Amino acid sequence: MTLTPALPVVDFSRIGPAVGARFPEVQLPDQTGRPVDLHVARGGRRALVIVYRSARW
Amino acid sequence: MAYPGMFLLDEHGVVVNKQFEQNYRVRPTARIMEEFALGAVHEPRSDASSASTAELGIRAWTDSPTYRPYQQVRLHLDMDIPAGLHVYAAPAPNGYTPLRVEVEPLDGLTAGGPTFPPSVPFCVAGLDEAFMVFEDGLHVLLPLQFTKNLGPTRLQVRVEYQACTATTCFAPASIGFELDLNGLDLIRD
Repeated sequence: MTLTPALPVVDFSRIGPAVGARFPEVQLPDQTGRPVDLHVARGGRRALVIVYRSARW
Repeated sequence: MAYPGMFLLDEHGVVVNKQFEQNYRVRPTARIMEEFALGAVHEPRSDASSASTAELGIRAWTDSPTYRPYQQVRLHLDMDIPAGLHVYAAPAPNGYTPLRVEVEPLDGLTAGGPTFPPSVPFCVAGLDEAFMVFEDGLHVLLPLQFTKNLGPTRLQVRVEYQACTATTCFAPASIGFELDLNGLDLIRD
């Protein structure tokens, strides 16, 4: 549904972890600088991982 | 990560879905991300616009009351068709008007084509043509993209349609309504 034209077609199925694969172990700082481990923070729950250049929307 | 996007993980941390954009400038709305994670539930916003005739009722809203340049924003239209009535879908035979949604052009706005749900075949007594029609209710999505901040922005939307019953074909008609959005500046950080 994107309206941005004139970009080459990319096979996104080959970008990043594949569907069906476990997401890698990731540890990143939160907004206070405290390291957060993704899978520990999930605590066995589902998660939505959003990868953009900032969290300001 | 060369491309911006989203991964949906299940309880075991396994990727069950993923979605990317080709350009960091393009961002989905929070509503689109919510649907990616939880499935599509097209609940009208409390400030949805309404308009109706005897043959068609419409509620319309956008994903968000605000937009930023290059953000993905969708126009939602919930259409209610009273029992016993049908609305022609494309492709319609020559001389008949299929359901159409048009957004008045604005400098800095690109409107994509509407996405309609599947239609069903239908015959009107006494007419030889075969029609495809919508019945009961339907949800229509139309993608919008602003390439600049227009500030307070009024969208003018027109829905053209032609309704029929099993025995009567009505004249083409249209419904117009307006939606107000507020433009915000592009985020560059």
